Amino acid sequence: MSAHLEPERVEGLATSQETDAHLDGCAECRERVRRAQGRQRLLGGLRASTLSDAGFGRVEAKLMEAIAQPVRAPWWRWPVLGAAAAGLAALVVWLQAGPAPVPVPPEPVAPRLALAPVAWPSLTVMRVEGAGTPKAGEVLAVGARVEAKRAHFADASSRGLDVVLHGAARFGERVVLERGELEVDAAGERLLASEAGGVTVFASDAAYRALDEGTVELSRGVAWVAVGAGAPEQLEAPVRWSKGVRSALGRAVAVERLGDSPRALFGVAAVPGWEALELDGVAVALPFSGSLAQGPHTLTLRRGSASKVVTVQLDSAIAQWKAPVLEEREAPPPTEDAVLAFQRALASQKPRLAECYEKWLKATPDAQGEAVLELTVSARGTVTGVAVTAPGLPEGSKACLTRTAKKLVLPSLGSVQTVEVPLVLRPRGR
Amino acid sequence: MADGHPLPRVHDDLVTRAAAGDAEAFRALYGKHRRQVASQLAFLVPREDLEDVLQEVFVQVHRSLPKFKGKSAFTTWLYRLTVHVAMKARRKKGRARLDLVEEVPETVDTGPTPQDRALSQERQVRVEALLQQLSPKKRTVLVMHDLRGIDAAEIAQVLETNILTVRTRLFYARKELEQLALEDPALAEFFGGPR
Repeated sequence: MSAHLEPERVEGLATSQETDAHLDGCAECRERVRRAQGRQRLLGGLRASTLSDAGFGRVEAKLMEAIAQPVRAPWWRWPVLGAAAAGLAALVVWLQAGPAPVPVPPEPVAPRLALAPVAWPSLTVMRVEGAGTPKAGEVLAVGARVEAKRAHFADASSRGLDVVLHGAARFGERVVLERGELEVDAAGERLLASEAGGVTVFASDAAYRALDEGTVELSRGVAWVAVGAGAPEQLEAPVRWSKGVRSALGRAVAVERLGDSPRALFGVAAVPGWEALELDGVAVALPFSGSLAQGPHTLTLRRGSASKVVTVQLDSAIAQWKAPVLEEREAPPPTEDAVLAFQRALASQKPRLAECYEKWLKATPDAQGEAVLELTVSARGTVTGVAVTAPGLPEGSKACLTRTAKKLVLPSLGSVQTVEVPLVLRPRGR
Repeated sequence: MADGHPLPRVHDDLVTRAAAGDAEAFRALYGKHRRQVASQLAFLVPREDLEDVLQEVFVQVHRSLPKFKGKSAFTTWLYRLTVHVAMKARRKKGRARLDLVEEVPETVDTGPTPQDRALSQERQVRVEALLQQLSPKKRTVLVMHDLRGIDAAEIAQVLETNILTVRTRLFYARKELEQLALEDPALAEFFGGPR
């Protein structure tokens, strides 16, 4: 017989009402059983949490977004960096056939639609092209305003509703369409109620455009329009409706039906040598990734006053494209007036930099030293890069100087310039 | 962890299609297993991180599916992957609590009712915080053994280690948990400390 009970036996005794004669003579074993009972009570009372349906829906949206991204190769295999190392400015575009954003469930649209105020479900952002806010995976807050070249939302918990917005809208109890076009796909009896120009449009499985003056252009499906609290009037596509008068739809509403056109996953890692990139006229933050319709798209590269417009043809194959090299001309020296204005602006903002030193001084009363800031200033006067050389300066102070320098408001020097700003950090009077 | 169980045809098909890059099959696979994985992640990761880690598990599933040869049941493979992702998950700073709901227990033990046994909300939060203070390895073994009731041999298989290591980790995890609870005035009474 061992001196003490085996751990399994201790656990067993803690769980059951059973006793063991060994316990009578082993105080330590009794203590172990008591502790095991305490632990079992503690852990036994825990309630597990799981996600709500909306939470699972958000994960699904983010997941599908994540797996649609091309797997990024290690940096040393990036063609763009290889090219950059060779002194080439390169823009790399990956094209990959991507899945349609969200296929509509195959259930037929319900023949009977109840024209009642809708209990609007929370919509999850599936994909946004353009401004980029909100982000994929987020749930739209009540009253959220969205402005995007193309934004796709879904009732992620049931996947019964798909909404595509081209333009601007506010998502509240009803959707207020401020500009552009809206497409609605509902697999059940849900209706989208949107308002524009005093006209309410109820629609399910439809594509329409509501204009500010209260005109509705319906290019697909069936919709009902109502003025104020008046009785709704049924419209069948294609039709143009304006203040009760119907006419032929003169133009096709440029709303793509979900999944109708083949799509391509489009990604841009960087545009070395350039400062900004626009895709089809909309500025995009880099790295950029999005699902676009296959076909031609316009990329505009910008740096200062220089720009280059390139049309790319998105096909289904993976492709790589090198951006035209920006001709690096030696920047003309800034004029004397520009330099003087720059120096004045810098001098007037040195107290902001001095605050970083004062913080250091508070922590270390005898702190002093020297620092050199190397500022890269764009043609417009924006500080685009900061390098701090300051041996002996604490990391916190360096970070403070970097942060502050990036916020300096400086006049234009006419072209991109690198400016060295020496700082002597010592208390006044020494 | 038995290998070689024949899988239902529809399941097989879903896994095969997802492994071949069918996004809709992968979406269906997520829909089918999301609750199971979320349930397995409970207590292994902080509740605020549950959403992120669940996503990470399925990202890993997507990456690793082509390597899944069907030598074990898909659910077994998924469970292993879930545990490993949870162990590697890093704490996120400053995350707001997302909308979580309590799991409804599928079975009720005889004896005290769940309400009787349930810890107060405050205690629940404190115990979860204690669990998060354990190292991932100790926490995983403790949660699997003492909360999920998985035996040491099976844990050793999932963690790809030996049973002795599991028992050692469990011993130290329990000891550490008790010590941490004794230092917490709201939990000390469970171990005979001052109320």
